[in-house]
Amino acid sequence: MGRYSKAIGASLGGALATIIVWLLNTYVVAQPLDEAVVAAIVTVVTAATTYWAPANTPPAPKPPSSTVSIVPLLFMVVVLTGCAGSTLRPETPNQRFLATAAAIDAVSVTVLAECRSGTLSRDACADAAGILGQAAGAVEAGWGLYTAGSRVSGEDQLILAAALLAQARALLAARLGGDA
Amino acid sequence: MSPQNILLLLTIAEQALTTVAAVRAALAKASAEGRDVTDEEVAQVMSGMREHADALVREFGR
Repeated sequence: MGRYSKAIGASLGGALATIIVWLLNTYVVAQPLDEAVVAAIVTVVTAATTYWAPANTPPAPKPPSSTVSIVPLLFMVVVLTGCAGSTLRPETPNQRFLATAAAIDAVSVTVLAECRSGTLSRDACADAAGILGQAAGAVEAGWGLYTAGSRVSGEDQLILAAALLAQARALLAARLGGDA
Repeated sequence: MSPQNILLLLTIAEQALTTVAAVRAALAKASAEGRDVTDEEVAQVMSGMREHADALVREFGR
């Protein structure tokens, strides 16, 4: 029924009135009912069913617009990582890994909450999931190499940073409709 | 910038401050004890990071 409840009620009334007239003509009266009587029956029955039909309900509201772009998310990833890296001034590899993981975790927790609440569009959430998932994997890989005794060179870190930036650039270019 | 974007930035900034405070506390504690951050402490943070990143990928990833 929903938003067309009254119209459906009127249709049902018309059908019901037609059946009533047919029953009367077939089983009750000897002569077919006068047109004025038929019109009166149809009018009364249709009006009654329309009156008793549930009220029309307004269209379901659209979900809140999810126009938040991925840009502030990426921006905040950079800011958070930089904040953890510079403000805390980590001096040892363990401190650096701890600060970086905590920064990525903070962004992941916030983005996850925003995605679950519907603030962010599905696309933005998918983009953020891809970037944060890769970032987490990269930090874990670096930690794994470090704890295994391998040294993560500055060149390795630059290659990793370039890969993440390239992915972010591709995602942003796709969102903006440009070439990646 | 839309109100949604501003709200999102404020939310993330608030989360960032909380995180920075937590990391500072962890580093201060280790420093007070005259030691470096232990591997276990790093692994614990890594575990939380992985858990939330996985949840994000699992629920919203392509």
